[in-house]
Amino acid sequence: MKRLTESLAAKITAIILSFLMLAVAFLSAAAAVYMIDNGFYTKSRKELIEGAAAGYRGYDYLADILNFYERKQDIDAYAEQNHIYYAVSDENGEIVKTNYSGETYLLKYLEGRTMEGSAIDETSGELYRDPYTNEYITVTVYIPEETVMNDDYALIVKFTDFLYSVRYTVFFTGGICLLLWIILLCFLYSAAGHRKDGTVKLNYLDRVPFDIVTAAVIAAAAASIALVGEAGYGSWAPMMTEAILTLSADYFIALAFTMTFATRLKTRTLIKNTVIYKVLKFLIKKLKSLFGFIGYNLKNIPLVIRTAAICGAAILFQLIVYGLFAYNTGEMVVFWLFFALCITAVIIYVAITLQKIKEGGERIAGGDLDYKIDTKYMYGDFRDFCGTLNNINKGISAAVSEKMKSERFKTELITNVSHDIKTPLTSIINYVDLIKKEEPENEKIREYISVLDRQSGRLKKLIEDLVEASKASSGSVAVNLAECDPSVLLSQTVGEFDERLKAAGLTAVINTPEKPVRIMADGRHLWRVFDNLMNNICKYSQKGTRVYLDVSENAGRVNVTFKNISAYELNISGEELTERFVRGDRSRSTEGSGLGLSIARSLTEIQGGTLKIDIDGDLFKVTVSFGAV
Amino acid sequence: MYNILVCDDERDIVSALKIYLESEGYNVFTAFNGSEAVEAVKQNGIHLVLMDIMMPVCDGITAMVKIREISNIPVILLTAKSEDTDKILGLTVGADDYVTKPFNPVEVIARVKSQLRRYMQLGGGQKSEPQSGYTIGGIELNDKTKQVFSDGEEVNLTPTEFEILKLLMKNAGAVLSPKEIYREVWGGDGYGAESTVAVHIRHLREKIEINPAEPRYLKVVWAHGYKMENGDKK
Repeated sequence: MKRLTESLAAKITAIILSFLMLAVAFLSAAAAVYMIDNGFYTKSRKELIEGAAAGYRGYDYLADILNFYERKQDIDAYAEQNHIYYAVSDENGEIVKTNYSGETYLLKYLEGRTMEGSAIDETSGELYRDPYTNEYITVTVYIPEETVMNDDYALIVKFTDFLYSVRYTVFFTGGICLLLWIILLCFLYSAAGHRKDGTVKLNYLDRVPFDIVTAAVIAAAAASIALVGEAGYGSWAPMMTEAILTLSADYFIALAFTMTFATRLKTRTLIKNTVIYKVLKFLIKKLKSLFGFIGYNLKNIPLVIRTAAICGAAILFQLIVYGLFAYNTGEMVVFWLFFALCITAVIIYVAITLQKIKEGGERIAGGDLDYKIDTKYMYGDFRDFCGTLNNINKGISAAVSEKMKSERFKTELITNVSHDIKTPLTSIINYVDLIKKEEPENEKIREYISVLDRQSGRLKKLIEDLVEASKASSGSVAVNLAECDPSVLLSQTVGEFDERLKAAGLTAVINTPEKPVRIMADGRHLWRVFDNLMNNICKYSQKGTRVYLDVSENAGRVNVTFKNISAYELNISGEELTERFVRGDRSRSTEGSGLGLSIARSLTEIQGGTLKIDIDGDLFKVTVSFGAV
Repeated sequence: MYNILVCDDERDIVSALKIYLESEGYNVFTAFNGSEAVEAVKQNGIHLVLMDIMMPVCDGITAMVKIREISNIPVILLTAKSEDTDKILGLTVGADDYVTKPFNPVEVIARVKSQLRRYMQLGGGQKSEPQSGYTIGGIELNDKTKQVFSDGEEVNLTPTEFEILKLLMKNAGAVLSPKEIYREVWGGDGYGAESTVAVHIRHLREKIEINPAEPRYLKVVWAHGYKMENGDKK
């Protein structure tokens, strides 16, 4: 079923089939109505055919035979030619002339006429009437079934016959077709939009705004109604053809419309992809930005001016109100105006003070820890509040410097301790090497020595990384930013790692942009970042895979990405990996200090860049990003 | 037979170095602080000093200055500090080279040999200045005979490596980008040119440098290119 809903051929077949099914169902229904109206279920087959053949040319035969009889021509030959039987009887019912001898017939026609006597003129050989002899005769024509069936009129009879034969099956067929049609429609609606690749996608029609599609469909419906209505005045056959063609076209249009409706529902684009929605959205967006613009402008008017403006407006409003409604204007108004001006002055003073406090708060929040709010012209609660703010500032600045001191102290401690560790480690490494040089006989000692050798090497690396990590994260390394090209550094790095990559069975694929990109970075630190990342790649990549190294510029950022396939399962997030001492394998059975990525991130950050790790299954991706110059 | 003075307050390190150097056929004197070292240099005919920086009584830097007052023998500093500032300080007060702890014995021996060769060649005037070639520090390049010497010892280079080295020595001190090097040595702009150059430079460094990770002469200017300079003169 899944495969079918995605197959284009299946859909096209279903569309055509659905049309055929509906057509058959429709015809069946029409036939049933016709048959019920014409008594197909009450009359016998014979009656029906007789009824259908009511306009049959039996009367022509009668007329011909009467004429032939009158002119004394050969009736038998005529009858034989037309495969009919006839009988001519006189006034008394005596048969005068016949070729009928009791054969079965389907239709019987009868006509009597008073014949004028006639005779052949012997001299001229012409027929002339003899008005004195009258003869009343009756002609009967028997038409056997086969004759009717072979005649031109046969179509009507055959049609009636056919209808009679299917008078019950028509319900069955119609029902089945209707059912199949519904099933096909269900299939089509569920399959609408499904593609070979298992996704639901929009086709050309689905991308046209829905209201436009709807309008077009309504227009098409109106046009087809007009067409069919107009066709009613024409002749029968072209009218039917036109009606059938129009209705078929309507069917396909309706099907396409409902299918696109289904697809839109599935992809939730029914409402979104309409012109009305887009216009409304655009208008709302514009309105929002307009309000935002107005709000922004209002906010940027200094607090003092805003307050003054509001006070001024209030006084003006009151003056107008008094002017309009007050009867007693005079001293009271002057007094009131004086009072209002005094209040305004106080309000403006408060506004100025608030403005100062606001500015000070913003400066402090922005990290300016040395800022002091000037309390010279402040009184009462305002003064106290500013004093508190200034004290908060002092507290924060003390906490920050304390924090920085402890960070520096930590770095110093790590550096000193590691120096002290290095001296005994030197002895260990050297003496291990000396023992190795002695080439001890004992196999076990040789094995133990190789362990010592490996582990002391690891310890050395760990100490070096530890110092570097603590320095990089506390920011106590000198950074000399200069314009440089990451593409060049990448190729240099790959050159340095050429042999190690080969030894690890890895192939490096470098993609750099055509046009050189530039970033601000410290080449030496950036090399350490790339060095650490490449070290990781050599250590943890699946053998025989490719390593993708890309430099790209996107929206003002230069991204250097390192992509490789991990040889180990990475059940850890990218964020956790850049923590200190964390490694992809939690068991820590492999070499390495677990500081590489942490160092890489710290070193990238002190140069103003960012380092991001994405893990997707076994795909390990590191993105080092810097602002483009 | 050269006399070498090893000075470190850590006796185990001194004896280890003594074992290595003696196995190479040097005559080793030992000292355990700066003043002992200065004394030893005064009394014995020392040809080279290997000295720690952080020592009690008299540290390596002070001793270094005192030694320079009486002799111009090569001095290699041993240091646990790996910061650039410490290295620069050591070099400015007159040290010829430095080794960071924990060190690799093989590297120490190589540096000792290199310093001795240069000291002896310079002092004995045996050095024959190549007529058509370039010299930077201990690296000599003879364009006629297509030979390259590192501290007097011939180095086998491939023709490409030779051309790169010649280009860099001709433009000593200038930073050449991988693209420029490729254009000069190979001609044209090839696909993946930059990595090709980087690989050859790496090989070249392995051949002419004692510690390719910390080159003295063939410097990598990260994200820009490469240059040849005399790292001894800081």
